[in-house]
Amino acid sequence: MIKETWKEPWIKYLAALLGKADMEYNTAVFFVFLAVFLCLYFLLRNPTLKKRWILVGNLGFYLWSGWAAAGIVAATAAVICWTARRMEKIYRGFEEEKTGLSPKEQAARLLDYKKRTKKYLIGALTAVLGIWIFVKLGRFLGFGTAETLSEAIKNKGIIVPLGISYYSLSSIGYLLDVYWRKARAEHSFLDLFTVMIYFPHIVQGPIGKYETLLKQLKALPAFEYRRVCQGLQLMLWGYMKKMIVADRLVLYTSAVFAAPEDFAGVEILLAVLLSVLQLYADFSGCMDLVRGISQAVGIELAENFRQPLFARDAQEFWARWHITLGAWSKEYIYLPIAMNPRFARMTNRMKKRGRKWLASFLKAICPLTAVWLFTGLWHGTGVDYLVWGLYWCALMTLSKETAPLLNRLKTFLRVEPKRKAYRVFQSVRTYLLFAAGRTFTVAGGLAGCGLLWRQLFAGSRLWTLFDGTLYTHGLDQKDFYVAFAGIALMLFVDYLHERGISIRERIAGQKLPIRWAFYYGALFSLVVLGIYGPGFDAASFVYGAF
Amino acid sequence: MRDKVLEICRNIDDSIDFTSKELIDGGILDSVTLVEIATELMDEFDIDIPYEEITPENFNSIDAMTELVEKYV
Repeated sequence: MIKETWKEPWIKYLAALLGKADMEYNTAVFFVFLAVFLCLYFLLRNPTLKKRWILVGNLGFYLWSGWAAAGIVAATAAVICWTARRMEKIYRGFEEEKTGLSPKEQAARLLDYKKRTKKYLIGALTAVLGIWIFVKLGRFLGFGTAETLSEAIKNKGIIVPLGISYYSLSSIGYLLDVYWRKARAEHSFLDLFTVMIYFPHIVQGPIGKYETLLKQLKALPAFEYRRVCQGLQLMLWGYMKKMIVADRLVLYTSAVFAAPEDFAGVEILLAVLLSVLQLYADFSGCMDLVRGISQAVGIELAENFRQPLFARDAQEFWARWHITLGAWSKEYIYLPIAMNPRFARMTNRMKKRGRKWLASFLKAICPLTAVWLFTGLWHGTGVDYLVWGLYWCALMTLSKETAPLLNRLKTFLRVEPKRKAYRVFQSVRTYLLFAAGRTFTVAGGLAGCGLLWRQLFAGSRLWTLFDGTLYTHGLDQKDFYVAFAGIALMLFVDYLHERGISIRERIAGQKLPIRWAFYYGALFSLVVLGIYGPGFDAASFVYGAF
Repeated sequence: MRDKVLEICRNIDDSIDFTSKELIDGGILDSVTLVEIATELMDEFDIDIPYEEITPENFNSIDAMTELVEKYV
């Protein structure tokens, strides 16, 4: 039997291996893909060829997830490209007509043109949102995923285009920007399609602005050792966060959240607290690695995390965590609602009638509720995610409305807000609020959340932390030490970044042996301490599922 | 006009230094205050400022805001 197997040509083995594997960022297939892609990319000199090679890379990456999905995304891109160009063409008429008109007349004429472009905008938005809602609803109703059209019809499954929640948001933003005349329409379909399915950001974001990415795509820089080296360092750091910390912690947290009834209160508390660090290491690790890859290519992706664990309150936390999602909802949901003339007139009328507090409250809460309901639904379709969204909305509103009262309390208690101890207290408080929010969704819905909280207080059984029981749930003692060392390193790096220190610049300033000791140390620790999942199937990234 | 715009802004939050030319880019105005100012300007001058005009360039300074209002009055 063994003899027969060895007779098979090795290339067939490799093909079979690659055929079965998923193309996730932490798989062997992806490493092979990336190495081939980058090596050939660096050899190219012609800017057009470079752009097209990126498109080939994107298609290779995307087609791995199925032809039908790629077909849907290509059709969506075609609709977006055509609509944006159509809207721009209509506005060109306005540009020609406006010369000689007063600003007021111009504003009036523009309204007519906007009415005409709106038809196209609504058509394209319906198409993009329609597909997205269909996929979300399909998931909510429990339909399985299918790879081909015939499979979808036969097994009543849905085709889920890779990264649909990410490219849909970017596309909607792009269409609205062209409609509001904040961005120019892209005339090259291939360029637009390239940035839309750009492989470093298609799976988990960051949710980029096509205009910014297109500008960079059209001016790709030449190979530069320093940039590529720094990009690869960032990539390596991302892999370390993901494979040493996140994939290790998840073994423990997922065991606890799968059956909270089997665990002691203190073990559940630890799992809830660690789940924040696990998510942070997972998601920000992925962002570091994709930003690193993109930096090597010469395209700077938007920053998605800015030391969120140092945030002092809920508002600051969300300005530092998943920044691009927050920025998107602020620009395309919060401000358009808050600035809506009818809404503004209504609240102003209220104010004039003496209901000042109610007007200001409504002004803040209506757009905020819309943002958080959207954020909740973006993460998942269940009721648990809606509650999670409302939880954050309530926290933000409470913190704003009680600010004057708390300030008075601080003065009364003589609390010095600039003191380090107070800042640490604020960060810990924010961390705990985030951890509490996680309980709504981590244990499989609201019933799981209830069970988690009940169990948390049912029996704390403190001794399980010390008698060795803790080390029997998926992570042994050594693994816990490694995870904690990884967390300490991650927080130290964040602390340095918070102080404005660029670590990669510092490393670049060192002598060659020290530099390479760093690189080898990082690579070696990744190889030795990285978790490769059961059967060497790498663990999936959390945010790739949205 | 400029004085009126400045007065409206000060009424909303007098702790902000409105002489700055980087109210938005410098992170001095948060989105809640920006909305307050924009809607108050709409109300006070009885104008509709379209959403596309809510850009950093139009709200970075009192002069920029005045220019914006003058366009719609």
